[in-house]
Amino acid sequence: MNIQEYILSGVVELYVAGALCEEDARELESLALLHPELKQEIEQVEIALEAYAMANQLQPDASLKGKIFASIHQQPAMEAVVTSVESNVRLMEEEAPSAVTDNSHTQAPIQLNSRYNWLAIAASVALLLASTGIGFRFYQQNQSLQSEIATLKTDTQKQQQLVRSILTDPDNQMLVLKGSDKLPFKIPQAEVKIFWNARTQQVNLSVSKLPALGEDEQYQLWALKDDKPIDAGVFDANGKDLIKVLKTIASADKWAVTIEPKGGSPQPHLEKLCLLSAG
Amino acid sequence: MSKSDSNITETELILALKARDEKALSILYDRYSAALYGIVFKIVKEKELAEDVMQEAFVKMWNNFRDYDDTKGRLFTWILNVARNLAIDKTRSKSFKNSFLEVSSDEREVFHSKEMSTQQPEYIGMKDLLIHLREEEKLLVELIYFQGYTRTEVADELGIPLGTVKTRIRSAIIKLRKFFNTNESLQD
Repeated sequence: MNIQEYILSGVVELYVAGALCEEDARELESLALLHPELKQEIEQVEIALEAYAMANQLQPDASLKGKIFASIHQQPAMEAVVTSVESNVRLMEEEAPSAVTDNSHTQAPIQLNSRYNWLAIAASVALLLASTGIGFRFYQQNQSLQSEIATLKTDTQKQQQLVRSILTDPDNQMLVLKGSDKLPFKIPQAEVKIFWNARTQQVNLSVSKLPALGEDEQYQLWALKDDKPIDAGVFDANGKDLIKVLKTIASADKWAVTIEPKGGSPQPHLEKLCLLSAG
Repeated sequence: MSKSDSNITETELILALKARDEKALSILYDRYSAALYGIVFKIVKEKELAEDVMQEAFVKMWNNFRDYDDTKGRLFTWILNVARNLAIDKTRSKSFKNSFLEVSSDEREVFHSKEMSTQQPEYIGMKDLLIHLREEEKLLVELIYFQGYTRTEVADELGIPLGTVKTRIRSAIIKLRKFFNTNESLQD
């Protein structure tokens, strides 16, 4: 595609105006990653319109700001209610149809025959028990979902704190470990980064590219000091954490990763040495 | 607004908003509410409705700020689109009928309004801008960028060919760009 022609088509102006359909907007965004001149064009249009809007300012009433903050402060309680109601409704929608259908079938025979009355009552009782059961299950599911959300939130917060502490602490050093054709176990494209803190001696690790292993295997990080390997902890290729917290290591000349039986080994299996730090 | 608030860079503001810092929302409001209100008012043309839209817009920005991706565009473009889309929804839901004559007269009203914040240091006289932008170009910019009309709608309504709409929009944008760039460099 000729990018100049694309720009001249006026598509950038529409994009900035938010008037492109989702598909075209995605296309433009990916093109902007490839073509700096398109990216620049977008920014120029944005700046021009921003300035135009700034030149057309109109002051709202001074009371508006207070109203906005008031409605933001009201929110948290409402949000929680809405979320719990929504999740209950969703669960009920999934579970309820069969119960409703049963109910309508049991209604009609009541007037026809007294024998059916008992059936109807029995059915109603069963339905009542079932619905109580369902209700209880909603409650349980809701509880477990809530605790799941709470756990996820804490996990995310922990990860954020960890990333922040790594990025802001000047005592942290980052080292890249790479796979190579020259190593006994060849995964040339593999890469992990380790963050070693000189003060706390804590080793943290982030997987960039690493193939998943079998169930009974794990990667193990080794610190090499005076040619002796020291166990720095085991980790998996994937997993929920961006940053994996490993052991503390006082100092190291080099770092290496081997593939070991799950749980790690006291000494590295060198035939499965797959990543090594540079230098 | 204290001096430290006005010194906060856009990047710092974005980070603080992502971290849900209410002070950042306050700064965002101080910086951009008048620019947004100017546009929202032009779309809905009613004070009360415009204030409702503003309120909804800021609540939405606050709640959905994680959706803003600063690699894709500027902060103002994002908040403008939030406010503008809400305003357009309002006019549509009221089966609002926009006649172009109405738009122009309202625009004139807004442009000449005493409420326009002339004390803003970045304020640029509308007269200067009008010299640079021909009336029909200005109308197109207003309709397409700030009022959510499609180019086809504009072409139909004004009875001009779609190609002309495209060229006029483009020339208007280029003029605006030149105009504001010159003004920015004068300020530096």
